[in-house]
Amino acid sequence: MARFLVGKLLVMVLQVFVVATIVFSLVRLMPGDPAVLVLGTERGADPAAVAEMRHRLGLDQPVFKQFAAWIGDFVRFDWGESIFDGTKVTDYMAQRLPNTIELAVVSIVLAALIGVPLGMVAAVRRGGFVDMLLSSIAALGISFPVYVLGTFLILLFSFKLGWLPASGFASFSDDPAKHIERLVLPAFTLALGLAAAIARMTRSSILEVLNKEFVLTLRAKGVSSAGVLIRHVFRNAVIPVVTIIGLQLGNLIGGTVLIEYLFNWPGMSTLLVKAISNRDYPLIQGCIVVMSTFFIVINMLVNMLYGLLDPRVR
Amino acid sequence: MWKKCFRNKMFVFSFVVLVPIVAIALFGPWIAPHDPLKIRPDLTLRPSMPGYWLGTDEFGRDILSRLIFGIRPSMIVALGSTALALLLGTVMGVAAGYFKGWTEQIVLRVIDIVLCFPPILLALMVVGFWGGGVRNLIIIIGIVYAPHFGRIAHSATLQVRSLEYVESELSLGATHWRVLTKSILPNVLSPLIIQVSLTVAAAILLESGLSFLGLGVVPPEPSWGQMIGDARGYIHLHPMYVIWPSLCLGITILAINLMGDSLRDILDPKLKGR
Amino acid sequence: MNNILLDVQNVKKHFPLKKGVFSRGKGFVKAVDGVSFSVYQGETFGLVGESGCGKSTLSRLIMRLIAADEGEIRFDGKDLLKLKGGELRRQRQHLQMVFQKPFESLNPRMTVGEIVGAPFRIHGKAKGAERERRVRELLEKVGLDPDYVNRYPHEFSGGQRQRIGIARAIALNPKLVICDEAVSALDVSIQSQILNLLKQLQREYQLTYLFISHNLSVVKHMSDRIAVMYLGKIVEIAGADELYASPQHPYTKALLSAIPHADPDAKKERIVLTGDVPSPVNPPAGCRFCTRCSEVMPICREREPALIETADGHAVACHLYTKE
Repeated sequence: MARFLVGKLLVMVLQVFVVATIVFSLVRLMPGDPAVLVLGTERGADPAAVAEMRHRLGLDQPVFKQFAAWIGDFVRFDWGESIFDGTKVTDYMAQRLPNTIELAVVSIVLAALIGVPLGMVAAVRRGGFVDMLLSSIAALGISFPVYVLGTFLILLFSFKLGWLPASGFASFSDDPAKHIERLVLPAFTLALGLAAAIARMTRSSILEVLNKEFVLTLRAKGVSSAGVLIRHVFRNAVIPVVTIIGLQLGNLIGGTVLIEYLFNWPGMSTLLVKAISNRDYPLIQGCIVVMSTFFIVINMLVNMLYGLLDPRVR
Repeated sequence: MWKKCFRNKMFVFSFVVLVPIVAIALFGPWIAPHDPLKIRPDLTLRPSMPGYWLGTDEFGRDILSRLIFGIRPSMIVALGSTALALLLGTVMGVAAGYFKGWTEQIVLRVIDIVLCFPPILLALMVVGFWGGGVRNLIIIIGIVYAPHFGRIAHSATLQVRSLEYVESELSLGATHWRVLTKSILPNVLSPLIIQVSLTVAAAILLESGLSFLGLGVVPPEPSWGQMIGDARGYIHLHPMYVIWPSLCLGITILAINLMGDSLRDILDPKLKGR
Repeated sequence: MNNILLDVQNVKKHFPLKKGVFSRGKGFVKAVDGVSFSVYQGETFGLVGESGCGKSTLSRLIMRLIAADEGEIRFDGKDLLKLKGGELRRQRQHLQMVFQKPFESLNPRMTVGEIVGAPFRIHGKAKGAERERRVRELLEKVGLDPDYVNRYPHEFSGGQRQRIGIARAIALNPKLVICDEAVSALDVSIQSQILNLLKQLQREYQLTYLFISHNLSVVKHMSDRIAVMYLGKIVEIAGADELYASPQHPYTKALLSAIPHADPDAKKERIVLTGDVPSPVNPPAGCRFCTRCSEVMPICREREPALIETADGHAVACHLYTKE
């Protein structure tokens, strides 16, 4: 068991390292001199400025030395400064990461709160209204991009009904009510898509349990289906949620990127998009590495959780 | 084969939806009432009116024409990248499953590495460094989805290669090339075809997402995702501007998903029937 | 008719067991452990044994579908194990195999015509109309309607598919045909039809057969000489009639006693084997059969008996006979 966990941890560290290496090499692989690209076309015409920038970026060193230096920096969390405004990349990360995490976590919790009960109802009243509604929404849900859904929600709640603001941000410490107000739409948008998937999975896993023989025996003895459910609620709620998170993780991160942009939520993704528009390479690298690491870590956690829940996987 | 397809209701429905879309993509330039790039500062953000049936955008360009022209880049990127992913993934997966040994190890590791990145991040990273545009999008989205084909091809090949008809081809003295093309490939195609429809849908979603962020298809060339991105700033002034491309996108992807589902139904029972 | 067509000398195949993350070998499955025998031109040489004794592995070693670890396999004078590439492929024309599973040995995506025509294609022996003609001829020879050339395997029954497989095997007039459990997957009534077909083809094309099966009565019906295999080794070789009349190895005796007899009055002493079948990973130090043998002696557990000729054309590997 321990061997299983340690093995997974090692793989994870290796993957993060590989990702970081790839991201590092990309700047070197790009067409053109990175120094010129960083300086832009105007300043880049000046050879002295280029030479100075090359020295700053460490490009005048042999590649191996550059890499070694970079690893050292990476591990010490010295990821350089934004070309655009000189802020340390790590400062930006610290600023933005919590917002993204908050959005993601709230969305997942919302999705679970909506999805699990819905799935249960759909399973227990199979073929009923809720069940049919669920299947049709699910089909639509995967076809409409998440930002389209977000836009429709903005149209409805912000434009037509005027209940909620379309964008903007207020930090929680400054103004909690405003903060939550602005959190609702983006979190809800993300949560809906996820909720549909969770509901479907909850439904099928409950149906599976309800059909098992021992349940039929219990019910024949007079125990109600609700009674059986309660005993299995934990398993039936956790497994679908974990499964969906694992399967949809790529989509979830993608969704977060788009939703943050749509609602102007100051998280990692808006930072990344801005960095790309500005060709701010150190910042781009930092964002990609952090977000990919999250992806890898959560994938690994899901894997490990599965190993805990289902011994056959080990 | 085709008869079976048309007997399936889902297939017919999605077919009926997709054919006009493809037709418009092909013949768009001749049908569109206006030049999608033509700016008319005097006609900005107008609602539906004669000649401009769906209204105009913030530059006075005709929304309908932009919608029509907008299909093309999305379709080209979706089909091109799927074809690339299919080719790349199948070659890698079949080679890994057939030759095993080092080939298999390397291919599997490469697949693992690509899968370390969430698709959108990988795409953003490449776009960030190399810029957007149709050609780059085809390449990067193709690379993003190649691993999925690779894994399917790999496991299907593993299953097939231990069957006796492959042994018999080898014992007859067939070259590896012949075995691969005649015995292995034709028999691993089914799951790959199903994956194609899934990938086309995913590719459209990815491309439109990138265009939405302004990092996909390069403006002023229109793309549905891009239009949605541009329109969101004008929701209060011109809500239909955002709604039309959203509907088009949603319906197209829905049709592709349904087609994929129906293909799976058609192909699967045939597999089981063996 | 006296020259040796196939000469197998001390062939071994050990499959490494993979365990652990780094696939360190933790022992070997000794599937084939020093097998030697010769097949004369024109005869049918039977190879019989239970599942897991290594006979299928042996057939694949001879066909060079897997590589042998040790030993020599001489076919028509040439050492098969040393051939490579083009030369090996050319040699394959003369050495063919009929497979066990009718539902698996034919490519479901190829028509019957393509399947039977494949040997011609691969070795460039006939093209176009000529190839078509020969394919139809072959189908007729194996008892199938030549108009079936454009049909697919799933349209045929098990017996018919085996006929197709046989047609494919004899297409290039091979010298040796290995029948690896060729009728085991067929209904009993069909089995005799196919066996008769094989015999008929042997006469017509002067084929040599290596007939592998776990079914003793079938092997006896087909073979001139028979070898008995147990856990990767040959324990007895003799002419078919001789083997059945006077079996020498205890294992052979046990096998023979299990054959149902047509005569209900004939007294039958079933020799029931006791003891566990040792795993091919950890075979006992001495004779492989010692854990189940009814006539086991102390020496059996210590030393492996060698295959020794006890009478003309009759060889056995058993300590009961080594003292002589």
